[in-house]
Amino acid sequence: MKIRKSFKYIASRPEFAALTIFIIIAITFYVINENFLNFRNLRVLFTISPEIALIAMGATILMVSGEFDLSVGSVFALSGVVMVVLTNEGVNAHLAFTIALLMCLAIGFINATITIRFGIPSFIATLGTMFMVRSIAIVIVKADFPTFPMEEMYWLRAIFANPIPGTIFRMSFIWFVLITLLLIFYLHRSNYGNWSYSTGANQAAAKAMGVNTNNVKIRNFVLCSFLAGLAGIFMVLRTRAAFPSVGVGYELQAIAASVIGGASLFGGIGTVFGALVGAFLLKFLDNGLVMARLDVNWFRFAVGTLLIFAVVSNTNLRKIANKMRE
Amino acid sequence: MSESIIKCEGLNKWYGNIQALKDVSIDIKKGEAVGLVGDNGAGKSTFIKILSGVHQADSGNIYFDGNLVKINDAKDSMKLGIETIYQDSALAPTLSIARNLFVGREPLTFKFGSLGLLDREKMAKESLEAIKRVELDLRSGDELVENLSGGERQGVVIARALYFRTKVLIMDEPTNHLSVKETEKVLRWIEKLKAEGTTCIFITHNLHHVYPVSDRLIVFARGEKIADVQKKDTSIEDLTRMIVHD
Repeated sequence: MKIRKSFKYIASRPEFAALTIFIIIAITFYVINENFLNFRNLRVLFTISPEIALIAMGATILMVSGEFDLSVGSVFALSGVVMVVLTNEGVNAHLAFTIALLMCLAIGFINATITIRFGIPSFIATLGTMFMVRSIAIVIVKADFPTFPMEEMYWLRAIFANPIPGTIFRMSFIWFVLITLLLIFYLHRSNYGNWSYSTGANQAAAKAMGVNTNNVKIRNFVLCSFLAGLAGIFMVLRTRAAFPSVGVGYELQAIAASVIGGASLFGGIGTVFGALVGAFLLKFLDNGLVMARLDVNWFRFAVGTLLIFAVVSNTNLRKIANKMRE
Repeated sequence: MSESIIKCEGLNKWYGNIQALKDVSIDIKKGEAVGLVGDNGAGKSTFIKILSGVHQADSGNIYFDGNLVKINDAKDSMKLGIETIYQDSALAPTLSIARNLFVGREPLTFKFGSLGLLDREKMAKESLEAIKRVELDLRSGDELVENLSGGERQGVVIARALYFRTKVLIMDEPTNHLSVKETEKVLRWIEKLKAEGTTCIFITHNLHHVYPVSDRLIVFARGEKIADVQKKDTSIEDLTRMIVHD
């Protein structure tokens, strides 16, 4: 009976399936090339993975409440560009950092407003803002690459980007862990989280129980945009370059990571941990293909395979788990 | 019967040029079970939507427990103690029973503004107690609603109304799509609600569904209340004639 119960628990929680695949992939690449898990490469992996994971966690929370955000890749680019360009124009770097993040909040709010006010699918609303925001990012830098203000960014780099001596982590990793814990609290332990799930699973029911479903969605749109912008700033501070063309395709990777981690496109299902595992899985896969000296163009093929496999197995596992009544 | 719980006077509602409710006055007593019957478009749904705050009447007054009230949204309605459940839309299928029971009214251990930490222990314990009260054969509140039968889902909804001591429970077609056995169960739960003092209002186009549990039946046609009778003074045949002929 106990085994049955544990099986049901695991089968109904797709993030564990993703975690299993993640471990298998990590071991496989390690066997192919033992440098995959050496100090230097782990440092690379734990630098790039949190950036996509932040976006994916935001995307998952928004998907749980029944909406999408395709503009995250563009927001990822714009936030860093705005921060750097403003600083170059003479604005205090910390103020520029704050303005860039406030702007991301505003974009999230605009996404929510368009979606809710006009009752159109967020898929379309944010597809629109995806183009618009990308365009702004390119126009702002006048289709050029702005120089990175090293001196002005000294403290921001120290707080958010510099490697922590003797470890595989950068400062951004500490922030990432902190934010992850806050998001877990938000989605899984708070009343706001319960409202997000019920809004995505059955909006009419949530409304009838007095949940302000519009506010729930606005909050999650804003959160999603904020996390994408923050990830973009982390990357700019790390690479010391603000390219308006970064993050193209991240919106789809974020959705892929969410789905691999068990989130449902129909809302009401998904976990922060699942998004995190999904994102790390994608980045490990990407990096592992390079380390295995395979053609990196297979990355998209692998992601596609994984995505389909994940959804098919999640759906079936859920069905099996559901049949197991106690 | 004792005092009124809901008393409406002269409710009118227009949708553009169409008058959906014409001067409707209804007085519902505490602990009563009232069936609202009528064909599609008769006005019964509009009436319910006004009580649950989805729509507002263009004119007329609503008294709740003797006080004149304005119901502007679902929250106002819930605050008064009115809970409305629509067909198939009362519960979130992908969530557990416990989470469904407490949606919008979560017990919290810590609060900052309107954001709070869920009291999961209380949710688990009390959801189990709540489903036991309706004799649902489930061992834990963790079971997902999507795994429950139609009848069990109604059981959860009724358990929720019992738990929160809902004063007025409005149900849209409570026994629709249910097997005979499950229908009987639902009817038994409704008796329980009545025994605990909850006023029940059912809306249906199928008289047979609500006749057994109703104390009183109100017939709507073309936005008007055309009959308002105690069950003991009428029969299914009489009522059917009224619905069909008008």
